[in-house]
Amino acid sequence: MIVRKIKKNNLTEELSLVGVDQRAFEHFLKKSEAIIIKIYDIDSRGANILKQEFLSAGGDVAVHSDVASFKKERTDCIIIGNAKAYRLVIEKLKNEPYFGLSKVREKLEEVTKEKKFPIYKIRNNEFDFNGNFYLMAVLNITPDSFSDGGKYINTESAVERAKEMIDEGADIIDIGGESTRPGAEAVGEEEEIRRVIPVVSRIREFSDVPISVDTYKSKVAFEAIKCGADIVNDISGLQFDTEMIRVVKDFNVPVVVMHIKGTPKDMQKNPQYNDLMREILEYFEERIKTLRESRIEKVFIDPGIGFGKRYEDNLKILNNLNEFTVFNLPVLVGSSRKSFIGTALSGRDVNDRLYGSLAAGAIALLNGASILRVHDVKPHKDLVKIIRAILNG
Amino acid sequence: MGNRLKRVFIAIGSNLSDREKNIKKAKSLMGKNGIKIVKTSSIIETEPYGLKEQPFFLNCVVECETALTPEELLRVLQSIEKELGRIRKVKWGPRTIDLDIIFYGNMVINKIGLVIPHPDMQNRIFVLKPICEIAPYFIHPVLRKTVKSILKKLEEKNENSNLEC
Repeated sequence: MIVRKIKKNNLTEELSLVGVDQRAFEHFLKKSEAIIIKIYDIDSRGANILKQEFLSAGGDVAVHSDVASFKKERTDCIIIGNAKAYRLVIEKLKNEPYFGLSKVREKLEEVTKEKKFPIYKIRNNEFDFNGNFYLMAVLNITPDSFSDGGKYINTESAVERAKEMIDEGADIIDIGGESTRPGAEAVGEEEEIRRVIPVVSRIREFSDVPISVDTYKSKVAFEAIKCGADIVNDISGLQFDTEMIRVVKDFNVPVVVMHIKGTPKDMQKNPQYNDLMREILEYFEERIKTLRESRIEKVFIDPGIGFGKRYEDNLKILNNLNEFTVFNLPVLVGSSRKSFIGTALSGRDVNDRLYGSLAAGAIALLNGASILRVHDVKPHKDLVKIIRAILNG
Repeated sequence: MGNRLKRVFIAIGSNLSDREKNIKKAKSLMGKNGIKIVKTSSIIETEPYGLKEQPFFLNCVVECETALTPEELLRVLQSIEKELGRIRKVKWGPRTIDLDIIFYGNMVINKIGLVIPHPDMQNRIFVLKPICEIAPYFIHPVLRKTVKSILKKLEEKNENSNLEC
């Protein structure tokens, strides 16, 4: 079951999606100096009890307009209350485990708990995601990569580029041998290995920088880890290749789980969502649970900007990025040079999107992201330093 | 296919809802398929991270004799995993039983899906403790240390850090 932390300025739209009577909107808006949580599809009898409890604690719960008259069996809810109200109600619900309320209580407890992100130790580097920001630098070794792949087809120049990025302060080098931009054709396993392995080995000759391998193929991940890669960055969230879970599990490496709808070849052909945030959150919930069953716990989540998303979807993801922190796992975002930036700037070319990327990156960090996946390390390093200075000042 | 019996160590892990029963079943299926269990450690229990709905993990290690090659052994273990994994009572319920080859004699193998010794065993208390119970002086062919000293090193490391690794 997922819960959604709703932003105050989305409240009107969410109230109308729940089917709340229009005349009550003002009332709810006034109460919203608080934590707003959306839960989906609960028993209306439980919703009624929940509403009663929150009312008596000084909050409220918005439900479908037919719930009071018992004409609707299930309803979505928007819970509005300050922290104290949540605390009081969670306590009271301990004695009211009816109509699905014990699950609701569990989730409310989880989401209102003090937020503590994990600390991952990766190749002797400590990544503390409580208030720190990191940069993952993109190193594509493909001939048709949309931004810099064409220039870096031979191993030595890829290694030179890696050196540059390490000098500029990249925290992780992300190496990919197959372009995953929209419309891209798949590359064979052997070719991908031929591209990636020499570069990983060469970097290991002079640097201890954490390396992630951008692949969804288990064999590529395996060979890369053997050569010294530390992280698997899988656009399919370990789904395209059924052996990937085994590799990640056996080597106990951290893994990036990205949300994608479709495959790189067809994902931008006409992506449709009934409820974008719900779909992505439920995807992450399922993936995290499945991975934890295999004892895979060092996970990063990536909402997959540009991977089966329309322009509006990408903007929505960034604007509501804070919702993804609900899992207490580090959030990784890749906006750099993507087409939504070009669109927002009325058709800017891919190599002229740096300032737009910086803006998108800043919003991502302020909305809870811990890692930005970027092409331009030095500018983003400045970004991170300024934001840190202001937030800690 | 060699006929000499090899000494292998297999780690069994489960958080299936009927855990002890499934571990017993796994052992019995191993015995029926050319993997003779010679020694078995006691079972240790570890807490699953995060999720409250999942039962704790149970782990143990068995020392076996087998004439199967490493590839054959892997195939047999995988089919046992599949067989036991099919008994799923609850959708999305815990459904894994893991049979991992930790050591196959003194062999070192590096193929995808077949990395021997197990590449992460030196970081897993739930493998090291049981193996130390039944064969504390077995020497890791790559690390060239006894499993006893590998466990000691891991315990010291965990004491010195409060990091999630």
